Amino acid sequence: MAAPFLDMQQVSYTFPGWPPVVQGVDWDIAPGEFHCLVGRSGCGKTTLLKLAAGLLQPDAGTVSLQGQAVRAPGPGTGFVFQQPTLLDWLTVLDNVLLPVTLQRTPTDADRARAEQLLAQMGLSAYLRHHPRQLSGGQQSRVAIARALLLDPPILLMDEPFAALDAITREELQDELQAMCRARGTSVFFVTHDIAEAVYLADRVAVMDAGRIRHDIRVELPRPRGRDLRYGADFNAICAELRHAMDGEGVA
Amino acid sequence: MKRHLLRTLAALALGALCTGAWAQAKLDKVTIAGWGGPISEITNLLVEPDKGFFRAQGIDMVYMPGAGGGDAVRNLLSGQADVAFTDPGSLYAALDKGEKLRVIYDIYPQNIFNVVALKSSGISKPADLKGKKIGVYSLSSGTLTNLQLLLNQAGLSEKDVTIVVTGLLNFAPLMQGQVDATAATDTGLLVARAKGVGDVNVMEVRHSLNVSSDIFVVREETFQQKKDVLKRFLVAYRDSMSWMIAQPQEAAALAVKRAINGQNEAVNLEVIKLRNASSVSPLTQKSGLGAIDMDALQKGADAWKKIGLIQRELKMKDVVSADLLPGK
Amino acid sequence: MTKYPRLFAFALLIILLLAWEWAVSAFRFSPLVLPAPSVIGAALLRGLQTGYLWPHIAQTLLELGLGLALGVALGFAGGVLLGESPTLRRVLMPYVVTSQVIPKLALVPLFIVWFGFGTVPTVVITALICFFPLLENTLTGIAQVDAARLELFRMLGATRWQTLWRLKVPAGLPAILAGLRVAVVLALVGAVVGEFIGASKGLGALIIAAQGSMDTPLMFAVLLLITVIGLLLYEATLWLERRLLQPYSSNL
Repeated sequence: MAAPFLDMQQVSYTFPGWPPVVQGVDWDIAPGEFHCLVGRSGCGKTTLLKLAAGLLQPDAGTVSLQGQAVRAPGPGTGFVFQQPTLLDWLTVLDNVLLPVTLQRTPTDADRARAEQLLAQMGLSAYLRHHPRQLSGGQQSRVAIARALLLDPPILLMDEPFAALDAITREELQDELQAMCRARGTSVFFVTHDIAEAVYLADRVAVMDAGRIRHDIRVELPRPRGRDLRYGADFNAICAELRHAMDGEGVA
Repeated sequence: MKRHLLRTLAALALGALCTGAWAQAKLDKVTIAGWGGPISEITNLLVEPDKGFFRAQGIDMVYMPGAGGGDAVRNLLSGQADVAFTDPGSLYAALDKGEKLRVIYDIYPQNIFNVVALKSSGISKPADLKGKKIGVYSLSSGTLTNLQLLLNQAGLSEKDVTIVVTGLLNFAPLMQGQVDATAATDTGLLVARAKGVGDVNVMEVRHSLNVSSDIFVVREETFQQKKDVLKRFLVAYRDSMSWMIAQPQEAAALAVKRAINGQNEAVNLEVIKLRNASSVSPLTQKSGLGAIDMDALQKGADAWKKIGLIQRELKMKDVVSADLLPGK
Repeated sequence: MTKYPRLFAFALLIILLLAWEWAVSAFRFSPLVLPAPSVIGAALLRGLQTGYLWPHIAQTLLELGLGLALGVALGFAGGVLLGESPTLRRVLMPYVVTSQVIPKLALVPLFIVWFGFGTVPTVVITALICFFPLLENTLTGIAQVDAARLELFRMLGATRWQTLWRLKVPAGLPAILAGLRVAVVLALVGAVVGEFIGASKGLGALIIAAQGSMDTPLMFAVLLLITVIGLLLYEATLWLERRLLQPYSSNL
């Protein structure tokens, strides 16, 4: 078995003055795997993601990326927030180039890569536009392109499609899958949508009250297409996941 | 080739600048702190670029505007100016505070302040002002202090009247009936007549006590250390005033360009004529422009003390100096 | 009226002017007290044609320009400094407020003693009057960045300097420009009022001189001039604002 890419061991975190939000979490992601994290609101998913990113430092336990402890956010991790968080005053292209322009002057190669990513998202016509001129779905695509600019080995995503309509969501899920498979990017994807979790993931973790309660392997074949969503296997796994989440509520 | 040309031009420019500065440096700079802006009353000072009276005496004269005689004295005391063009009242106030000052020239030996009432009011002499409402330019202006002088000489005091601050547009309240009388100057009355103030009774402060309207005042150190410069300065001022007296028409024409309120040449002429008249007295006829009537200044200081505007007994003979006067 | 507001505003102005003109002759107002618009217009025209007014306009605009530049620079720098450092803010804010509460006209003679007479004291007064809206708005503007964007910048490893200049300031630009709009109007008032004391040139000095000569039509003409200048400046600032803030609006 390949060495885990992201390795979290006994990670705990408490916000000062609040009850513990993440308690003793063990989780690891193998290189190139797509993991989803589901759970109710307030179960600690976003906090766990931020711990993985290095935005927060755990009170106990360790978070390592490729064997190195994560002390601060770095270029090796791409992060996509719930809101696109694009900068209104920059063009779409400049928004995508932001990870580079904050470190150095962008080269032609950087620009070419940004344009290529946007082309893959179908946004070539919008390079010089400003974010306010784009729809919600288009803005989310730009945010993803930005996260992928530096070709990070791991991508962390916090419910990035939650505010979008169903059809756009499905399109983006397909695009995301394609891009990550092509690059071998590991993904840690937080969502509250069960169908989305099953569609995207190799492995799904169910989180509740700061702990990982369940862990389900999704053995559906790849690449996954639209038809899969309505198949029997898919729904069986969704039911299993639903049941697992239900169990928490009762306990 | 181009660079060589540019360098030559730069050198020439620098040379011209230095020569200009050197030429300027040969002149002694004297800053006059005045009580007002560059108005037509002081045309003889404003035409320096045209007539060069001060330059002819080796003086680079600069006029510093002010808001009242008190301002002029303040600017003198702070060192910003070398000579103050101010009224005796402001002088007395400064002397009262212990400042060491010298009077070196009497600019307007005639008192030009007055109190004006509409004929219909029935107020024709100072005693009639008892119980009335009188307007003044401001609480720090010569109109107020000269009004107090007028009242004092008539046996009245501030408590017998109501004083109202009307600002510079002081004849409008009189015409509107908001005040019974207004304290003004000869030029103020001239302009008011032109604007249709109607029939008025004019009480001249001059008839009560003819204290000078404006004098040149310097600090004691300047007086001791710069006698030569001040002498030349006063010669230049006398010459400028003599010119204005001799050529009022020319002065009125130049005032259109040089004075901030000089748009109307005919009005300029009238104002200049008034100032010319206030610059002469029997004493100046005898001893030349600027001759100082020590007696009148002393009487003024005594009156000021009686009114209560100052606390000390001032001895004007210690303050007045006729040594620097240009004579005839 | 909603379809052509500009037209109706203009028509209203014409009606008011005509009413004024009529009132002056009907009630026989002295030109000293309330001159008719025709008299004011004549005075203005004459002043412009003879070249009398232009040097004064130039002087006031110079003081306005310099004072505004100084005030904006100070206000912006101060706003950034106080916005970034809560300690500095707590220490310095009382002094800033004090500088605003003191009546500026009372300070002019003091400034003349310190800086000499002429342009400098008026420029300082103008700067003093117009820096405050810039400071306040910059302070508020850079503080109102949302947490998500701040986290984005942290995620991308931005330095504090970068976060300030590439996130906080651009994000606060709408507020900062609103402050500029206020500052521009105040600067004009500041320049004119600063000239009331101790100035020989400029529109404020003209007002005082006109009062001294009891030339009320000239005074009104100068006020009219100041109004026109103020309106033009305000429109110019609005135009600048619209251009700079175009990306921030959702117009597709």
